[in-house]
Amino acid sequence: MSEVLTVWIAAILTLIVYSYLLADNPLYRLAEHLFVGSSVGYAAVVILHNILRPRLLEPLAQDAGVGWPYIIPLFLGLLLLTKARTTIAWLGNSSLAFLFGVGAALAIGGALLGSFLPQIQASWVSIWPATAGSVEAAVDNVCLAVGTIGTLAYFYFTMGSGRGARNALIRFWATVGKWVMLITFGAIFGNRIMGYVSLLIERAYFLLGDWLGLVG
Amino acid sequence: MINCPHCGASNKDGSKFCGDCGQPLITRNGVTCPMCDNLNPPSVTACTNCGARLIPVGVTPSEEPLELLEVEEGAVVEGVEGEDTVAEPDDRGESESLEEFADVSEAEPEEAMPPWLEKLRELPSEEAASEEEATRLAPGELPDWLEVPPEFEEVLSEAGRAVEEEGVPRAEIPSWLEALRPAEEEGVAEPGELAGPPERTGLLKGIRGTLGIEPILAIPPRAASLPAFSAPPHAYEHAEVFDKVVREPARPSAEVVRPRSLETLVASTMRWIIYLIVATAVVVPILRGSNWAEANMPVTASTMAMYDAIEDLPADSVVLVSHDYDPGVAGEMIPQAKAVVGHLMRRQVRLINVSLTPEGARLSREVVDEVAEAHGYEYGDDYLSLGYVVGVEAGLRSIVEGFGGPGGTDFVDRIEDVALVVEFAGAPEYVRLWLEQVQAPYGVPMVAGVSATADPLARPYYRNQAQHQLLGLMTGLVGAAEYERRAGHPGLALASMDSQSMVHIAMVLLVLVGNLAYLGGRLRGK
Repeated sequence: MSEVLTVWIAAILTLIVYSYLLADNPLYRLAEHLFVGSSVGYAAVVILHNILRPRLLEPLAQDAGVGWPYIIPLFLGLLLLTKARTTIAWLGNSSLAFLFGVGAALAIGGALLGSFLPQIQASWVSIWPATAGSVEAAVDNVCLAVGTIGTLAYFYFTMGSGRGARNALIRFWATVGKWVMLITFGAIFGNRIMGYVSLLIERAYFLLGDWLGLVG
Repeated sequence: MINCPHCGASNKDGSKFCGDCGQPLITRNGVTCPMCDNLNPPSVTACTNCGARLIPVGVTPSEEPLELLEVEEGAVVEGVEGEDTVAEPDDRGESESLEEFADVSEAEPEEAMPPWLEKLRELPSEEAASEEEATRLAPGELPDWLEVPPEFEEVLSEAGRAVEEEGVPRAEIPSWLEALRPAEEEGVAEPGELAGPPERTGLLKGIRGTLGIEPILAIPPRAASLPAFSAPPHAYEHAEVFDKVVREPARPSAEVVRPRSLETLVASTMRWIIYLIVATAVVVPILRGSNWAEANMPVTASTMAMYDAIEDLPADSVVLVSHDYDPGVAGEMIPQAKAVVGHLMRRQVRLINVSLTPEGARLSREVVDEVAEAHGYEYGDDYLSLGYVVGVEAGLRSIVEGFGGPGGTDFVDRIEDVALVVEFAGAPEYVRLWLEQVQAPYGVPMVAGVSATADPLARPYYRNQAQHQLLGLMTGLVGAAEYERRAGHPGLALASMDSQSMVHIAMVLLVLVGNLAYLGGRLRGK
């Protein structure tokens, strides 16, 4: 019974959301607010039950002699709550500094090791068919090299506006980079449309199958 | 050198007044009070230390009525309006107020008089009086700078006649400007009156009462200096255009009568036509149960590589699966997760599920439980879920570093023992996060299924085969369908491909028709 009720509620909410195609209306706003509110409420419950209780409160409650170091993150977390009042907000600065410091250190180190250096190395490719493996791979590598150089030149803002051969060369590569980026943005947009169509199909399967029972 | 802000004349360093026009000089740090040497901000009109006035008396555009100002010792003196500091015969109220002010000043004890006021007393010396006499103009006489050059007299007289013939009304001169009129001033001013000595140099030569330092009592409460205004020529052009637009009367909106033709009917219902076409392209293949893609859909190399990476896993190995998506992309990600988790369970590997999004933890739990039930997997023995991992980089590091420790899992002792990381990412940031925080530091092999939106930004990692950043990559619902076909277990993704293809064909046709219609309209317009 509860499953049938859930399906009906989900189906009605789906149709209400699609009613936005007609025009903005109060029912759509109601569904929108329900979605936002339930998402925030669900996130709060997940943080309480999955994070705070098992990883902080329970170790403290079970054996305070062993779990006393957990008082430090608890204290830092409580200090963050002072950000709600401007007069005592400065008390939370140390917690924020700790969060940003650790986060920045991990992010920078990871970006260097996981993205920056490997991607620079991966862009060092051969454009000769003999060493690239095939003509197709060589053409692919040429496109990669042209796109990389052009995109870098496009963001070389301090050069290219004056006269001279060097500025003209940078302007040429900047134009190439602009078109490479336009093609990339077009690909992202096309993929996004494809993703939205996938969502529409999934909803259609739900309405026609789970709700109306027209599809097995 | 200090340049005067009023006349531009150069003065030597340390000067407080301009040697040319007599205005207070504004240094780099502000204006120095000539009475007490206090350095004031450039914007003030009176000294913040002693109250001495720092701007000329004559430049006060305020036309507010006189107000009462309190003197220190309780005496009340009627304030003097700035533009009327030059006394006029018929201005009885102001003359009385000035006399009262003089009486109050005289009534004060001699020792209470400040030094700067003593200096003012000494001003009308004999030498100054003789100079004043020499520079004083006769009634009706204009100073040199106001006299019209002979070559312009004829032109001005003609212009004056033309103006009189056209009946142009005379301009209204404000009272403060009227007070500066040299002829009238000379006609009423008597020696010894409060008008002060005439100017000796500069453009205001011969005019009384325009400059000088006076105590704060003489400053009207609303006195303000006129800031210098300058703007580039194009600003004036813009101002003229704006003024023209503002002054132009609003035209009444014309009633547009649109003919009810077939073209306008189609234009108004075009939105519904597009909705109908897309809905038909989605619903008809679903209702018909067509499965053209199931037999004909090609599998791309990146999806094939992902399948092979999982197919090569030894039995009983441990795989870490991260479900980093939300309901907004669940339509793409859940079919991917079902296809891959099903394949992993058929390979008899043990699974550790985590999520970097709160919603992903719940959605993945439903998917994994459903597939596990179909494959006879037991929670805790064959798979488990660590739930939502909060803290982004730090949280992810704490999870993978905590394997084997207290509160961790006994599936593996350390992250290096994990055979493969399978990442389902609704956004490219999650792929990058796992690559930067887990794959690169610990060298764990990794494959990824991403949403269609995330594909262009995640694909460079798959292309970097030399460093094995991503061993395989599948994209969107299409990637899930390819995986189902390659695995030989058709599911929802593969069944959706006919609808997906039909919608894509419909959209391409709509774009073509729209562009042709637009082109035709332009050609007809020419």
